[in-house]
Amino acid sequence: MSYDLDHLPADFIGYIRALQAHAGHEPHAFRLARALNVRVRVGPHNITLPDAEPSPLIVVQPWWFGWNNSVLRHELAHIAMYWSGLEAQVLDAYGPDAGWSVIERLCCQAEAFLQIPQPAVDDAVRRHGVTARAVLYLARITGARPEVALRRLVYDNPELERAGFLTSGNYISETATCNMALPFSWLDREPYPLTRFPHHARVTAHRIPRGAGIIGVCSV
Amino acid sequence: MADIDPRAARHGHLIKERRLDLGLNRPAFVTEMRRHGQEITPDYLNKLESGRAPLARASVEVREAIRAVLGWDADTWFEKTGLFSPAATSGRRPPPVPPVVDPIEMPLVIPDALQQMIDEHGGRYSQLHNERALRILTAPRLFGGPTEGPQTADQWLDYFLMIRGYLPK
Repeated sequence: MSYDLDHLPADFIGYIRALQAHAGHEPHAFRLARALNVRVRVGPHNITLPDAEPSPLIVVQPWWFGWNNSVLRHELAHIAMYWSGLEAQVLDAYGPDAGWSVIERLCCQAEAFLQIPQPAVDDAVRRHGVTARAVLYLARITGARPEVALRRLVYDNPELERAGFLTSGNYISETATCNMALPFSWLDREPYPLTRFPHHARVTAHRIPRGAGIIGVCSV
Repeated sequence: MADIDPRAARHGHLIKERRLDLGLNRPAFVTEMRRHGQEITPDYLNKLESGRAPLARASVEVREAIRAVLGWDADTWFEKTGLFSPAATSGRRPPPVPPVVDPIEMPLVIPDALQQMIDEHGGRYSQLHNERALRILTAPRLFGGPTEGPQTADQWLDYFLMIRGYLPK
């Protein structure tokens, strides 16, 4: 029986979580690579060789080496995708051209999960619920940017209905939607975004500290 | 005194602990090393064990002799030290977490530009005829997506030369 791609995002995120648990929920990219026995070397390009011998290899440009950065996390996500067996399934289903694009996007999404481990999200939700304040809390305790923390919270469980947005001045600078639509889109001009939601919607908002915008989170 | 690298200190501790478990004093260990074709001095062994001489910087031949004297197979050696052993039979290690789905083998698709490069340089580099090496080469896991990868025969050659050290022989 062939693999059902409906489960792809949930299975991939589940695998990332399992890897993090195996590595003691290490949020630091370089230390996470070490914990997973992934070699990191310097080279002229950023590439990943998950099937290199004797252990997977990440080559990063010198200015990314040894840093806790999203490039390293992205490459780790590629290794996770390869280890999970899902990479071959995606390529089999979509073909190489579309398949590699799908893989690339999934690995971009996984960066937030590798930066903000599950215990941090659980802690934020326990303290503040699924709210804008939880996003700020996540950003503060993990050092992640607000948009990364927003994506991490919204996409935490692919089965739930959550959405969120960030504004910059009068514009929507970031959106994240999971089984739920927002009444506006990315880059729309929305001076008063909260007024666009119906009264019964459970929307919370908070001003970004030292920023010129707000975070909004909506959940069912 | 210069700081000792923590990894070197850990390696040294591993060697010393195992040596003592085997009941070997330093001269006896050196004699065993000689039996495996490597001459080291008790002083060098002392430096290895204290971390002042990092094991990772020892030659592969010396490391292999140490591994043989300690009685570790290549996989155990890698597990304990994180250092490569050419005697590793399995090559790749299994993932730390089992896969979500059973692995499937994909057909090897070689782009035209890569094939052109193989035709031109295949005689010089045997890895260009190794299927596993070609599978690694053709998987475009580059930051920024597949469009960032090599597109022409010359770019494929540059890319191959850059990663050939990590490809199976």
